[in-house]
Order: sequence, then structure tokens, then C-alpha cells
Amino acid sequence: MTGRMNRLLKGERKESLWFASGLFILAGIWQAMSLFFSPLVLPSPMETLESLLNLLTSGDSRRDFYVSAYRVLTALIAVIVVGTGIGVVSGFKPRLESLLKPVQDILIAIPPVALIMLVIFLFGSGSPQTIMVAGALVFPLIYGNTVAAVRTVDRDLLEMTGVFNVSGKVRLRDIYLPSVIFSSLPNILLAAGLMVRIVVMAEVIVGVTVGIGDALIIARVNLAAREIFAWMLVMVAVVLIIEGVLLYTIKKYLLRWQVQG
Amino acid sequence: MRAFIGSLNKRLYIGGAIIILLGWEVAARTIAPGTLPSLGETWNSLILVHENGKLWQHLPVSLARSLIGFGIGAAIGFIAGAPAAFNRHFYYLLKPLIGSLLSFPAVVVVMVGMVWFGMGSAVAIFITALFTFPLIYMSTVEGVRMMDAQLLEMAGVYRISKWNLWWNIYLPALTTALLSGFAFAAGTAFRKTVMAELLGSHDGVGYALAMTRFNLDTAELFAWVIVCLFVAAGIKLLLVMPVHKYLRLRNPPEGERSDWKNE
Repeated sequence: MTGRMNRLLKGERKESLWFASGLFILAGIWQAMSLFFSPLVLPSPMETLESLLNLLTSGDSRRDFYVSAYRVLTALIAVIVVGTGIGVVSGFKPRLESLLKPVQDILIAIPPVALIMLVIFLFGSGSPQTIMVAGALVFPLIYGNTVAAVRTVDRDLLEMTGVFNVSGKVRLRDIYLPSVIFSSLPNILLAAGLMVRIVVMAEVIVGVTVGIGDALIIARVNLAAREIFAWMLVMVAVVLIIEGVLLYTIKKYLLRWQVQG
Repeated sequence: MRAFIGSLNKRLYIGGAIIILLGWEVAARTIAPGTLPSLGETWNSLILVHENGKLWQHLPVSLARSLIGFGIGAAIGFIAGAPAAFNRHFYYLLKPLIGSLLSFPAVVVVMVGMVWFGMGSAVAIFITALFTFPLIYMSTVEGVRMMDAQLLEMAGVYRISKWNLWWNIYLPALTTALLSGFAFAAGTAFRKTVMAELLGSHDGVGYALAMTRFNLDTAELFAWVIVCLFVAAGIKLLLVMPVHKYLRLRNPPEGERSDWKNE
């Protein structure tokens, strides 16, 4: 047992060693390339970090960050409520699913920028519009997953509840709910990572007065490449924390539960 | 036809689409006349962009850009993905690069691209290639990893020749991986091109979209959105569905990967 554990740990250590060298090489290439170009075009890693520190200490930038984070959270909560709600109903009623499929298909197929333009035309620009677009673009992901989750509920378990005359309420609470939550959690994190990127894109195109998108537009007008890079680092860090760390932890936890369950 | 829409009811699907169109028409006439163009106005606008040549000026440009970007990204993704699939060390070496590419917000990369290349085709092609690359890379790695372990074991037991191994096991697995990657990434490539054009180009569908905002021409905006949807449908009909059909013949059906946007 311990031998196996040791082997496993050794393997993991070796993997992280390769991972770290990959990161190192990447930074090295970045540094090397920045020597050939002016900092206006490609700032070096150090310059970007310096700019990142400036962002973190400046009140304006922090406000931009919080406002964008607020939009991400609002849109995410709205889309989880709406997407899961409609998704559960569609899961039970295949006809509704067919009826709603064109909406889902259109939202998947439409280029996000085209949807953003539509919303600007119809509702003007501003913060609620940004939240609306972001919610609409993430909706198919949450909705589709919920439908699939309801459909793939353990058939054997359901059959057994039929045999033992389990009430509908208990069936919903003890079988459907855990199954939907189980498969939704990783998906919600995926949606959160996606949402961060979509909200910032919507901010840039819709045109808002505060937020990361606004900071990016100003940085571009000022030709401040290092600031754009610093914001990029911020967003990559946020997305990696959501998709890498949180998703990994939850998946590991869920998998453990599944094996023991 | 069942393979086409799976468990879906085709009649209800068409019904849903008709309800959307009807709702649109009603809203255009009653709730927001003047803001929301009606079906007829949108159709006229579509005919207009066809007749005045705008459609045939911008659409081929966008298609060419997404094709070139897709080609470059797919080639690099495959060249990097094949060795990474067979060698775990190489896979972990590339992981930071792929991870950060996947978490890059496209719009920020477009801005960096505009600083580097100025306005024009280069930005759109660069963005498209950059975002196609990790998708093809991942599906190549996944495809090879999912290669039938039993088949490989049997090949080992019967000591089949290297050539036989490549021709009959590795090559089909790589082809499968590549095809499913193509189907997965093609739609994304077009959407990325349009986004890059909207911000950083003087032609293409994205630029045409941006111009409608400038001219406040809502009907034309809707016409371009419909063009985009037609392109997406074309990709699905001509590439995604044949590929899925072909793959299903070779492999037992598995959970379909949901096509979510990676912005």
C-alpha cells in the first residue's frame, strides 16, 4: 500500500517537474523575445509584473476589477437559476426540449459579437446589457447539461422506486436532485471560467464606463501594451483558479464520492 | 434521420423555430416598431447586401481568413499533439502553454494583436490560429489516449509488425482524433475571425457588423447575423454531421461533446 502511494507521489512529482520546466521555458521565450522588440510592442515579464503591481495598488483598477467581478457573479447566478430551471422541466418533457432546441442552437451558433451588437441595437449599452449578453451566451451550456443530467438519472434506481411505490416527492429529493447537482457542479465552474472571458469581451464591445473592459480600451488607446498584458495575467490567473484549482478539487472530491458511494 | 437530431422530435423542432420567427414578427410590429426590423425588412436587407455586392465582398474574406487561421492552428496543434499523446513528459512540458492559451480571453488577445500587427488580415488569422491550436492539440491527445487498449495488448501478444501497428492501429486513431477535432473547432474558428474583424479590420463580416452600428442600420445587422447563422449551419451540415456519422460507424456511440464557446 505505502509502496504504491510512494510510486504515485513520485510520478506526480516528476510530472510537476516537467510542468514547471514548461512554465520556465515559456517565460524564457517571452523574456528572450521581449529583448528584440520595444516595450511598447512586447513588454518583458518583469515589466508586466511591475505593471501588475501598479494595477493591484491603484484604486481605479481595483474598482474596475470589482465591478467586472460583480457582473460575472450576477450573470452567473441568473443563468444558473434560469438554465437549471428550464433544463429540469425540459429533462422531464422531451417535447419541450425539441421545442426549445432552436433557441439553444441559435445561441450556440451565433458569433458572440453578433449577439452583442443585437443587444446594443435593441437595448442600448450599459451594465445590465453586458450581464444579459453574458447570461444568454452561457445559457446553452448550463441548460444542455441539466437536461442531460435529468435524462441520465440511474434507470435501475428509478425502476426500483417504481416497484417500491416511492412517492414522487422523495424520488425528486433523493434521486433527481443529487444526480443533477452531482453533474452540475463541474459544469458550473466551467461556466464561471467562460463567463469571466465573455463579460470582459462584452464590456469591450458594449462599451461601459467602469470595468476591466473599459480599462483595456483605455490601455489600447494609450498604446500601453504592458497594461494590456497585466490585465491578461489577472484574467488568466482568475480563470486558472476557477478551471484549474477549483474544478480539479471538485472533480477529485466527486470522483471519490462516486467510488465509495 | 434519427442520427441527425437524436432523440429530438423533428416536427416540434421546426415548430419551435416557427414560434421564434412569429414572436419576432409580432414584436417587430407591436412592441418595438422602428427599433426591431420585421422579417420582411430583414429579408429585403439581405437581398440588398447580396445585390450591392457587400455580401460577396465581405463573406469570402472572412471565410478565407478563418480557413487560413484554422489550417495554421490545426497543423501546429496536430504536430504538437501527436508526440504529446505518446510521451507524458512532453505533455506536461506543454501543459502550461496549452493551459494559458485556453484561458486567454480572446478579446484581450485581439487587442494585443492589433498592437502587434495593426488593422487587417494578420490580426484575424493570428487570433483564429491561436485559438484553433489548443482545441486540435487536445483532441489529438485525447483521441490517441482513448485508443483501444485491448487492441494494443493483442498487437503486443501477436507481435504484429511495426508497419502493421502504425497502419492499422495508430493511423486510424490519429485520423479519428483529427476529424473530431476539426468538427469541434471549425465553428469556433469562424466566430473568432468575426470577433477579430469587428475590432481590428477594414473588411470581412465582423467589419460589416461594426459598420451597421455606425450607420444605425438595424435591418442590415439582422441580415449579417443571419449570414453568420447560415455559415454555422453550413459547417454543421457539411463537416460536423458527416464526421460524427462516420465516427459513429467505427466507434460505439459515446456522450457527444457539447459545443460550448471558448471566449
